[in-house]
Amino acid sequence: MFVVRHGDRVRGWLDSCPHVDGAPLAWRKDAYLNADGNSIVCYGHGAVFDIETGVCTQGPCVGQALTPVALECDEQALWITSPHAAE
Amino acid sequence: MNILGPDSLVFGVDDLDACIQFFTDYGLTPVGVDETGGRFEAVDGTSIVVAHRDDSSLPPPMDTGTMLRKTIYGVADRATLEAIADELGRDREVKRLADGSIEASDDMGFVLGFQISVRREIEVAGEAVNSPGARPGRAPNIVGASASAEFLPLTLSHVVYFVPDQAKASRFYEDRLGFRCTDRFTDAGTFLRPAGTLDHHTLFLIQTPAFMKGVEHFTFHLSGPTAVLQRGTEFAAKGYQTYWGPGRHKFGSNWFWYFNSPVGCHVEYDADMDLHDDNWVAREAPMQVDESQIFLFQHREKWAPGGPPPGGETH
Repeated sequence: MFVVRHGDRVRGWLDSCPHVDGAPLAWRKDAYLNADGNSIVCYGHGAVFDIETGVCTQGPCVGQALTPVALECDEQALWITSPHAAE
Repeated sequence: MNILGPDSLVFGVDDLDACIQFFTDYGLTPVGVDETGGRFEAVDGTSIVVAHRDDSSLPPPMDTGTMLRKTIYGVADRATLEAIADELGRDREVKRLADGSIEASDDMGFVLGFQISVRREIEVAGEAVNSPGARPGRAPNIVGASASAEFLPLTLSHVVYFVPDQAKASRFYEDRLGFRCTDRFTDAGTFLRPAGTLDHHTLFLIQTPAFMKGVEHFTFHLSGPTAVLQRGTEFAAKGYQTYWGPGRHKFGSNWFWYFNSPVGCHVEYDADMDLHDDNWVAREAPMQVDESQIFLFQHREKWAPGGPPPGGETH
């Protein structure tokens, strides 16, 4: 999975593009965003995802979405609360 | 048409810094690269060119969002260039550029360039194998494996397009430009070889819905399977993201290792591709997992017996 901080929100996503199930998104470790840092990009085929909703807005999986991984944030850590925690 | 193969692929990208880092680490040599982009060359002079997507000197983008703007083919001589200009000029605009090259689009809207090829003749030792019953590839005391060996991308091998009508797209390359179909996946994909090379394919066309039109991947040939595995391992160790591989394809026989990339398509290291001439009869197979590869491995962290192997990597 990967975690994106945008503004004051932290969101978790499964590192699996809806275009090719299981396909990881980054082009390099931790490199999941576009140049401006305001969209998530899958660097397999260039799909662009809304950074808040995870919905694909351009590319081979338009309309499909990344799978969220529920997170909680406190002063000490990020906690994964999702059933995906083991992945 | 004496087309040798792709000389260069031109991309209009979102993150130039990322692309400059990527192609430098991949092993191409930056030539005239600055904050506006530039050219990244293999040993024989074939290249990837990157510029920012707003760069007005680039051909216009496709509406699908692919970052590929142009595929530049190298041809053997001026006579070939003129023959292509005449042939394509029968039914489409052919631009003549200041550098002597010509530019026209294929039937799917991919912008193509044709130039006298810039590729240099190179002499690079291929992988030398010692095998019982065959003449040794290495003389006594010559060591094969070396942790410090540097394997460079030698030449731009092939590009793979997603197209909405691969049969029609293939006919353009075969009927108008003299490419040969070497093999095909039934109703799914066509491997194409231009007349000026014996390489199994320099272009592979895959059938997809129209909104996916663009590039699946491109690759440079390395010198052999060890080069692919060793260079790929070093690349992965720098944090680059494997997509598929390493493995060996059935059609083409080439070793492969695909990575994600900031040009928004996969970039591959490949090696040891089959050569074919006009006597070859195209094979056909369904597009299935077993037809796409003979074997597939997964890169892992090194370990040695003496303790338990490290746990599997989670993602």
